Amino acid sequence: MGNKNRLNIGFTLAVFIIFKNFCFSQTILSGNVSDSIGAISSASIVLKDNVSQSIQTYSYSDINGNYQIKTNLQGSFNLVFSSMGYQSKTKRIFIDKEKKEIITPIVLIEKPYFLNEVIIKSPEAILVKKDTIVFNAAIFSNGTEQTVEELLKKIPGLEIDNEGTIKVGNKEIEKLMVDGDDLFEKGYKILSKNMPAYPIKEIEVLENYSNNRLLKNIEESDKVALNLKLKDDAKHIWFGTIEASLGNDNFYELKSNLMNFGKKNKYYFFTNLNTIGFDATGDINNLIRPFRLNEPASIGDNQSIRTLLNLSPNNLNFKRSRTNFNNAELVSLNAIFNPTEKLKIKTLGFFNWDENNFFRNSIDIVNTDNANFINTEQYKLRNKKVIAFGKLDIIYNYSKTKMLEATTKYNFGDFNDSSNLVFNGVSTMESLKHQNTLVDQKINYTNKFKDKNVFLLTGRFIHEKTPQHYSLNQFFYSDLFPSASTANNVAQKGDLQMDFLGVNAHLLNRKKSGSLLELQIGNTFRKDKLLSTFSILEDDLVLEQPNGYQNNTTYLVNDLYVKSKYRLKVNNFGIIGQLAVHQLFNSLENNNISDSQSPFYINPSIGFDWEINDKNKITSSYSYNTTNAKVIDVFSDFVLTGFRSFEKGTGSFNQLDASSFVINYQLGNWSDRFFANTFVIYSKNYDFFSTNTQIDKNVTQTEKILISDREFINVNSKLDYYFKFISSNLKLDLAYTKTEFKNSVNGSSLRQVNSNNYHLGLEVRSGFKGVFNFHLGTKWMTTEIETTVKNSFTDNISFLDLTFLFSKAFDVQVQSERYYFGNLLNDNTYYFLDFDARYRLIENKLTLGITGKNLFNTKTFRNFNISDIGSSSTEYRLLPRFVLLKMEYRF
Amino acid sequence: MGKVICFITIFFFGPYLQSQNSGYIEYGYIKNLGVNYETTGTLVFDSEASLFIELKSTDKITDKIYSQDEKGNTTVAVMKEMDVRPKNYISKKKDSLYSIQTFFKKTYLVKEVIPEIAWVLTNETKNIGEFSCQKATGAFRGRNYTVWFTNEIPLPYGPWKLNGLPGLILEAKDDLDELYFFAKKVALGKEEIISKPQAEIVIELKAFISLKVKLYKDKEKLIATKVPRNSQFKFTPPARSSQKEITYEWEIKTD
Repeated sequence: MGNKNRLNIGFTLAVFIIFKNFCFSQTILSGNVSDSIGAISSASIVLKDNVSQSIQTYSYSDINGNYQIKTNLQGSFNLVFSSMGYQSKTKRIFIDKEKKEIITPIVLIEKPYFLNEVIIKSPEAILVKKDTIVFNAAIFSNGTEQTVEELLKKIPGLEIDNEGTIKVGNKEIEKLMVDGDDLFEKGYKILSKNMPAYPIKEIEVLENYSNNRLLKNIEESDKVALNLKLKDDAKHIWFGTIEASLGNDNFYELKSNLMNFGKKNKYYFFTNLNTIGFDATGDINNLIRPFRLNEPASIGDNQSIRTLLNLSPNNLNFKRSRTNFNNAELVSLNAIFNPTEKLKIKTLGFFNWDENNFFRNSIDIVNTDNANFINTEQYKLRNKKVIAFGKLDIIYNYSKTKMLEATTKYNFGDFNDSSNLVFNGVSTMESLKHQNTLVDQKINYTNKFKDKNVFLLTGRFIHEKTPQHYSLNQFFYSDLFPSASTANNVAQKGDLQMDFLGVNAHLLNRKKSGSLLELQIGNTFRKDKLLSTFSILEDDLVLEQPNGYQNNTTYLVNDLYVKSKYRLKVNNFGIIGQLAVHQLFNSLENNNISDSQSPFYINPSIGFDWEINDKNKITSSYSYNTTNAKVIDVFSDFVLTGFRSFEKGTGSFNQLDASSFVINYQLGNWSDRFFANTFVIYSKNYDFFSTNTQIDKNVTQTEKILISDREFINVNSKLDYYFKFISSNLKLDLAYTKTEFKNSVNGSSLRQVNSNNYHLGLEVRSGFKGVFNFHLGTKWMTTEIETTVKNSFTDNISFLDLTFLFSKAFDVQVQSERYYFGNLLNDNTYYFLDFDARYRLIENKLTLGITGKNLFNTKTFRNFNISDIGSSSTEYRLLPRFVLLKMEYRF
Repeated sequence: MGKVICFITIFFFGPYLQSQNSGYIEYGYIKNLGVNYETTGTLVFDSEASLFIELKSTDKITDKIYSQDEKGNTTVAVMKEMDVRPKNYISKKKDSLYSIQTFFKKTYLVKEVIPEIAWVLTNETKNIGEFSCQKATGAFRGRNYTVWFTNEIPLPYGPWKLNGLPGLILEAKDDLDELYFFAKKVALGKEEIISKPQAEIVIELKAFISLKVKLYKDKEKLIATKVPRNSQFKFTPPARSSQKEITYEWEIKTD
């Protein structure tokens, strides 16, 4: 009708039309937008539906004010022109298929615009849960690792040492969790050495970790924990591995894991049977008796029995598995149940049977002012043990701010140790049968009564008992007991018992400024009994139970204490001040002679930490400590501690005072090209327990004496530098340790002993992307001991590891080591070669492998040691070369 | 035929008129890409350019955030807020979008052509504040966005890189609920200074994406050489699905 009339073409304005041939139903709307002055660019032109007023299509005017809209729509529309600062204009248009083009020029009228601020209420729709999840770079294996321990070794900043201790930076981790649940606490080696790596998706390194969730952000924690997050398809299903390895000469290993990690319940069962020297439990003691420093509610953790007589292999700077002739069986059953939202029950149990053999031959040279002799010994040790351990944890979260935890532990170990030795040509047999029984109960109540205030109340009871029976089929002590002329064997029955009861109340108050105030009040009571009966026998007849060699000691220590700690935080600087006040009550009864005392002492400590900037951090502290003597320091008569050694304590009370000072400087971060970490530790013991030793060819008698002034200083620096052009990293490790103390030998006056240790280590590790990679290192260690005579030696350990990743399915690793002992005249260099080849036959299901250890078949290994009384050269027997064929099946 | 000549007597308001095309919008900005991160973004604009800045979160964000729920499950977030804030600058004149991004402690000015998003307008409308808004959907670099724009502010800008609608975008959300922008405050007519941001390194977007991949690989090589004996290390950069831009136009294979 009058539609056509609606369209007017203005001739004061330029009209600019583009005409293209589209399908007949498309219409072009174009025109020009201007104001009284000229063209308006970036004006908005929209085509609105007549009815709904919603925009169907749109355009903006260009720099000349021209616009163009192409549309297939037909019907009645509104063309709306708007631009900021102008009044909008609307033009009715009607599009039909006849019109190919509708030209609408428009002139807009300016509209004065005032400052206008509109506040819009934010919508409630989005839930913001502070439930954050890890956002770490996902760390994947390169496929060669089999257990979690090997996978963890791939995380930078994590160090795994020879025995499987996992440290982040310099700190050992608290625990290794699986999906947030912890099974083993500090006994995590059981998990890391046995659990397979393939179900793990991510590994979180949690720093500033709090074991107690209510203490998070309140306690000052530099603790670290690891959390293994599992792949989704590894949850709620039973999965596991079986690995069987068989080799020459009865060397074998059989490992199996069975696990099910669900949200409510987690189960982990594993077994390990092997004769290849591998200790599947890592260090069982970390599980049975975990030690946590500065951990709230850890009262009683540091209480344990130290036995005096042990038949055990030496600790060598060497892979323990090379000298461990074993036959081990381990079964472990572990579970975590979450029956209700608030309740968590953890159960853990393991049984371990092991038979370890150890062989060594040694030549001991004693060379002091008043004793000079040489002893030779050929020693074969067999340890048989059966250990059963059970732990039950119940955690009840009765509200968001209150928690109750109860832990019960039971340990029973039965040990049968025997040794067969030839001492200076005399054939000798020792036998030590002992048991260890431990019952440990802890209850802890935590109440977070305000947002930044927490109160903990802890109670602990421990009972431990270690009876021992030792017998020796020779009599070497005729000089000490001239009356026993017909004696031909000795025996000692010993019993150590400990009962501990402790209560601790702990208040933490975190201030707004970030400063932390801690207050603790508690009381600990410990009763130790030390019984030893030494008998000299002729065959089965007891000839004598000599005086001075029998102990019936009861030692009671009650400590009532108040500890306070304040950490002041100012920006990047923190100062910590601590004060501990102790009132002790000691009672000692030695063979019916009793005594008591009530010492009182104060231990202060002060320190600071300063994060100068992102690259420089420094911490330092000084503390003054008093340590009360333990039962093994205070017993009065001699105890047999080996086939030719006796030891006795001071027979009286003692408190030992010491000062220590630490400073640590860190430059850079581990992920930078350059990183350096330096420590200086100095400590001075104002009094300490030294020894007065009577050394004879056949027997040594050591008496603990109280001496003043022992000093110790250690300077240690580690540097890392990454060379980009060779894609390799250089590590430099320097350390210096100096110790000065005094002791007495064979009734001499106190003589000064100075010991100096120097250590230099270098490592180069490549990071090539291809098939081949190497890791090369060398370490020099020099030890010097000076009394009236100066003795020193230098050793060197070097290694070269090669990794070949031929394909995703096939890889080979070669490890070689070289040991050099400076003081041995001959046989002073040893080489070892191990290799491991794996082939994944069926991806994620079946893997075949060959492992060879000690391929150069080095049968014995000698090392050299010096002490303040002489030197010794010892030869150890090693597991001979063996090759194993392995098969691993995953399900 | 009539002449349509409009002459209007204009009452000059001086500077107001010059800046009448400008404005300032404050957005709430929630990212749920593996870490829940809530902050504020500001958009200043005029008819020639716009500048969006992602501000630091007002919650104290530290390097690592831990939370443990009542069950004792621990979750961790590892993030660091750099002092140099991410920015997106659109210049209509140059038809370019410049972004400020920090990567491994270096700041880059990343340049790209203003992305063209194929918006589909729907008929749904609602009010946000006093502005009447219309819904539109569009796909941009691997994510599908649902946005509400208002023609009452007839400029083609929006938060972050979202642009090209016949009005300012006041609310935007992706279909996975991982990104969410919502306007909290709108101030129009305010004089704003919009200047192109500067950075030490200027780079094209495509080259920047390749550079990030190379830098991750270099970092991996560096760290792999620092781990102790008996260990290996491999590092994988954050997955694309956890980034705002999942796929780029040049990565989509066209048959």
